[in-house]
Amino acid sequence: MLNRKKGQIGETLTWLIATIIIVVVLIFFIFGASVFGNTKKVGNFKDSLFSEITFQGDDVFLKKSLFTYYTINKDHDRELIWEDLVKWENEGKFDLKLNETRVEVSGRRNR
Amino acid sequence: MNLNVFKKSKKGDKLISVYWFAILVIVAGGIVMMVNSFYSSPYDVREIEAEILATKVADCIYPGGEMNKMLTSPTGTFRESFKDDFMDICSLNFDVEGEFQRPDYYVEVGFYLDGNLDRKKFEIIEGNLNWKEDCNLDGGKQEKLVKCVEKEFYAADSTKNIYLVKILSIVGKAEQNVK
Repeated sequence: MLNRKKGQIGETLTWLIATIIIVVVLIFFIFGASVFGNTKKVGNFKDSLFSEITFQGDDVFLKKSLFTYYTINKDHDRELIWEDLVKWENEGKFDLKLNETRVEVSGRRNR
Repeated sequence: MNLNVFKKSKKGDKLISVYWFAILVIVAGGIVMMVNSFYSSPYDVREIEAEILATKVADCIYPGGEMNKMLTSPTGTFRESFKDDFMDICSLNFDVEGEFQRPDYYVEVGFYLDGNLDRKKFEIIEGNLNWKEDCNLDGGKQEKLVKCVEKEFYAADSTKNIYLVKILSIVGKAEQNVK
C-alpha cells in the first residue's frame, strides 16, 4: 500500500514537472515570436539566415556619380568627385564596391 | 480488494484525460498567441519606399548620366518651369484619398555647384513640409513618425559644370507601418 502511494507521488511529480517545462517552453516561444514580430523590416535581402550578404540589387547613385566622373574632362573636378566618392564609401553610403563599379562603368562607356 | 484497485485506476485514467485536455488547450492557446504576436505588427516598408522615391527622382533629373533637358537649358541655366511641373515631368503623385489630408511624402532636391554646400544653385521642394522637422528627432521618436532617406550624387550639365545633387525623401505613413 505504501509502495503504491510512493509510486503515485512520483508519477504526479513527473507530470507536474512536465507541465512546467511545457509552459516554460511555450512562454519562451511566445516571447521570441513577439520580439521577431516587432522587428519586421523589409529592406535587406538575405540569401539564408546565416548569410553575410544582405544586398542584392544596384546602386543608382554611385553609378550616376561615376558616369559624371567619366564625362567631365577637368582633372580638378575629377579629383573632387573621386575624393567625395572615396569618403562616401568609407562612410558606408554605397551598396556596391566603388572600385569594382568603377571598372564596370568604365567598361560600359568604352563599349 | 481487487475491485477497489480497478476502481481507483479508472479514476486515475479520467484525471489523466482531463490533464491531457488541459495541456492541449494550453499548447493550442500558446500557438495562437505566438502567431498573433508575430503577425499583428505590420511590415515597415517606409525605408524602401523612401529609397524608391529618391531613385525615381534621381532617374528623372539625371537619366542615363545626362541632365534632363527640361531641367537645364543648353547654356546650363536651370529652368523654373521644371520646378513648377516637377510632379508631372517625373510622373509622381502624392495625392491622398481624404479630402483634407496632407500627403505622406516629401521630396527635396538641392543642386550644389562644385559640391560646395554654400553654393546652392537650384532647389526643388514637393510634398508635406511638416515631415522635414521630424527627421531631426531622436531615433525612437523619429521611427514612429517618419522615415528619412538622404541620397547624393554628382551630376554634370551640358556645359560641364558639376553639381552635387542632394535628394532628401521622406515617407510618413506611420499608421500603416508602425504598431
